[in-house]
Amino acid sequence: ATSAAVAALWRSGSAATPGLTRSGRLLSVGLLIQRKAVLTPDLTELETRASDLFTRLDFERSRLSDFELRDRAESEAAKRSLSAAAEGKVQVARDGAVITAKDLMQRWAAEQQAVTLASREAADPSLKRPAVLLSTDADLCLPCCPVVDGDASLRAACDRLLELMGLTASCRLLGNAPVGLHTYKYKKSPVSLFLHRAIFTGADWRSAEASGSWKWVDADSLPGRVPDRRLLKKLRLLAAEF
Amino acid sequence: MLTASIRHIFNYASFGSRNFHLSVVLPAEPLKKKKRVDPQVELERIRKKTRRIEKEIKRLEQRGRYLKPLDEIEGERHFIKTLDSRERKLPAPSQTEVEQRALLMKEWTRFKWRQLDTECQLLANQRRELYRAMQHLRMLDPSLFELASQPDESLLGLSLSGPLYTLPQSADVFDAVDGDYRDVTPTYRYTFEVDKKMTFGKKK
Repeated sequence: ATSAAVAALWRSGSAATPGLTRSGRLLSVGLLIQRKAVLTPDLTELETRASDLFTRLDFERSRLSDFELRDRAESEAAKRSLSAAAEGKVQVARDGAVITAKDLMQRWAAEQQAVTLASREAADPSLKRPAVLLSTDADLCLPCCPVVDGDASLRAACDRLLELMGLTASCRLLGNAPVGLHTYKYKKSPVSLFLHRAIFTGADWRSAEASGSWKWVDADSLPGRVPDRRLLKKLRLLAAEF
Repeated sequence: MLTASIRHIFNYASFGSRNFHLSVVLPAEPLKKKKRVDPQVELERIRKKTRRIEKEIKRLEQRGRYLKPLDEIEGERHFIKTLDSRERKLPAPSQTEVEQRALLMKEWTRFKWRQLDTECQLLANQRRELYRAMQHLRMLDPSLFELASQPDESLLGLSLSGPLYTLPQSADVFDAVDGDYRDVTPTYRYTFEVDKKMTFGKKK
């Protein structure tokens, strides 16, 4: 469903779907649908230097593997036979049928050169950071809907909202409890918006944007999409990356 | 050779009339006298042994092999024996290099401590926000609060993968090989067949 339909559901307040009110407050649920980073983020300069140092230290503290021992033994044997051949003691056979460790290393290097990795620079930089699914509708930023009498729990209202958005198969709600609360006034009526966390588990993250009503927004772009400063602060806290 | 030397002594010491004789050389201990065993007792003993073995096999199949505790693992003997020959002979780092490494480690430690501090603060703030939301829900509707307090059973099967280093290649660059997947992992199953003669069914 489009975000307009969800917004209409939110704005309707009609007799067909009256929102649940408690203590004069309208109860509603909002979904914080998160997408984890698709690509690994770039390392900072300090992280790169530390990574190089740890790799170097691991190498220095390690012992020779069986393959390296074999390579060392073969190199020493080759030196001895060459020096013996130079002194005229032994004839070195040019055509060797034995595959040495160096031959294997050359073969592996050639195989590695044949493999070409996909370019990271060509990918969208926003894929390296987690994102939140927000609406393209100006009036509605988070997907939300009022809790109605038919909803047994807040979780049931969230499931109904996911079904309305068409993301039941590709999103997983995390827990029955709300992770945040946002209170505001809508047409002079106080509203309690309970935020629930959901994670996008679908194979293709682009499928959520296919309808054109929803868009993945990362933490840097949130201020431009969420006009309410209090809600923005909460979203930044709840959608923070670790 | 010993027998020949003893025979030589007897022949020349004129002990032949005193009935000294040599028995056959005994390379092994004489066999013990066979005891008479009650066949019922013997069968009972074999039956108990097979029952014990069957029970042990059943227990192993159900629970699997016990892994050795980590403290008792000594490592492979082959590697321990060749440890000296596997030393890497690298030149020692210079004084400048050592100082640079020490400074980098300090900078890295400070960075990770700051990161940890930020993450702990984030977690504490998120927990406080969750607590506030639940308190507000309890105030508004205790029944909805009770339902929201229940654990989510569906979280147990959740598994996520990623992130990846690069995006997947397009089909014209890399075409995955089609075909059936045959799992050739070797599996070992221990079977123990008991001779029917040994089993007389359950004891009454």
